[in-house]
Parts: sequence; C-alpha cells; structure tokens
Amino acid sequence: MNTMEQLAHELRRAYPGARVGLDERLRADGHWWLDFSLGSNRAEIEWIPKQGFGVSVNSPAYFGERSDEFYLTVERTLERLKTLIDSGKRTEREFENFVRAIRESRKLTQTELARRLKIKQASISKMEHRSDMHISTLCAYLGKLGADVEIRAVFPDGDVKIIEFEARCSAAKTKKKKVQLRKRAKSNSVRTPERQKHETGSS
Amino acid sequence: MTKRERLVEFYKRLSLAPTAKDHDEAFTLIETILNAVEDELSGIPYDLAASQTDGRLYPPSPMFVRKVPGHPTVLRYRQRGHSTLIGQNGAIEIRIAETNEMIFSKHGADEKGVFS
Repeated sequence: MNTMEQLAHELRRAYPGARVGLDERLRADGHWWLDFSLGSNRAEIEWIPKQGFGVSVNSPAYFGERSDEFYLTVERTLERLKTLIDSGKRTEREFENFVRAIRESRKLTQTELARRLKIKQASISKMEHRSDMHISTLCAYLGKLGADVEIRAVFPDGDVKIIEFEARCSAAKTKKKKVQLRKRAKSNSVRTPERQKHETGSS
Repeated sequence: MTKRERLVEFYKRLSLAPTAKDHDEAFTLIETILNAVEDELSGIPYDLAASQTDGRLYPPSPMFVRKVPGHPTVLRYRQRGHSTLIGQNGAIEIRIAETNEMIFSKHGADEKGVFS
C-alpha cells in the first residue's frame, strides 16, 4: 500500500459512508488524486511524490488552480482533513488567510478598514481573497492597521533586512501624498469665470 | 484581473486559436495560451516551485497524465477540479472532475471531437 492508498484507507475507516475515489497516476513520477465526498463535504487531495499533499476542502476551483493548502506528511494531511470535514469548513488559501488574520487581530472590520483606506468594503473583501498583492497595496493595508512593513530574509547564520521593500513602501506613501498635493494644486489653479469675478471683485 | 476574468480570456483565445492537428500540438496550444494570459493579466510570475500558493493558473503538465479506459487515442490530464482530455486528432475537452460535465470543447484539425 502506497502513501495515497494509506490515506484513502484511513478516510474510508474514519467515514464509512463516504465516497472515496483514487485517480491513479500513469507515470511513475506522476501525481495521484483522491476525491472524497460525504454529504455536502467535498475534498480533493493531490499527492506529489517526494513533496507532499495538496489539500482543498469545500473549495471549488477554477481551471488551472493549485491546491489551497499543502502538507508534508500523511498524518498531518489526515488530521487537517478530519478537522475540516467534521466542521464543514473550507480550506484557506495561504495569502488570504494571512491578511485577514492580521486585520482580525487588530479587531477591525472590513468596513472600518475600508473607511480608513477610503475604498469600498467590497474592495477589502476582494483584496483578502486574492492570492497575491502588490507590495504597495500590502503596505497601504498594513499601514492603516498601524503597522510598519519590514521584510527580512532569514538564513541559518543570520538575517538580511531587505531595505528595497521599505523604500517601495515609503515611495508608495510619498507618491500618494504627491498625487494628493498635485490634485489640490490643480484644483486651486482652476479659474472659473465665477471665481475670476469673485477674485477681481467685478460684478 | 480576477481568476474568473482571466479564465474567460483563456477560453476565448483557445476557442479562436487554429485547430491542432495532433495531441502534442493541442497540449502546446493550451500551455501557450494559458501562460500568455497569466503573463499578461495576472501580474504573477511563472514559478513552478511556488505554484501551490502563488495564485497563478497553471496549464496541465505531463505529470498529470492518465489513460482513458476504452479510448486508446485519448489522454486525460487531471488537475484540481478538472480533467483536460486531448485526442490524438488534436481535439480538446475540459471537464469538471466530479461530475464529468464538459465545460469546454474544441475540435481537432479533422473537425472531429475527442471521442469521435
């Protein structure tokens, strides 16, 4: 019994009423798939030999999307699957999980953060569901939560602080300020006929 | 662009592309078009090592291949939620893995489908 067959066996034992199907690989180095369904729960597990398990639970996929979460061992994969199946919850994409968790840790709602960023709540929701983000957007998001952004490369023999990213964050803030100042200057320089009359005192 | 919008663009370009005359041409067509759409519209660089979490859409890989019982001229590529079937005649079908519902099809250069 290989690792994926072991996982299928464990799932069948834990959930006797479930449908567990194995989609076997053709190539020796190919990926296996396991499809699980029980009531309204759906799970797809991808086994990449020598790498680990991609897990997606109750999370419909677009064509070409990879798994939501990734685990190295069959034990950890099974544990996570059981947690999600028993609770009926879905897997989280790592990035989405991380930005939302930070906001929630500051006890801010999407609506309040949207007000601070002067954007719509729907934009915050969209931002939190994206799997990637511009550094400048992340800086703005975290900045409004009261954080400074610092990025470090962590090596076994020490860390390297990547100043380039801080410069970009500062540049994003500065650029935003410059744009605001330019807009203000432009609106001040516009001379409508009414305004000209008012300024010259003519009637 | 969102994933949904990028996929609409992918299916549009794949539909409009010239038909493929064999399996390899069809496989390359899917790969080339999806990578082009993602390069232009996702803002996420192609990086297979980061593909599990980067949010980019990736085309089928030879690692995903399977045979289709009873249809020796068809190969199936399994990905999350979907299977891509490619015929020896260059025809393409994309189906939902769970229901087998077909969501995209394109004839080969012989004007026949994957199973005909």
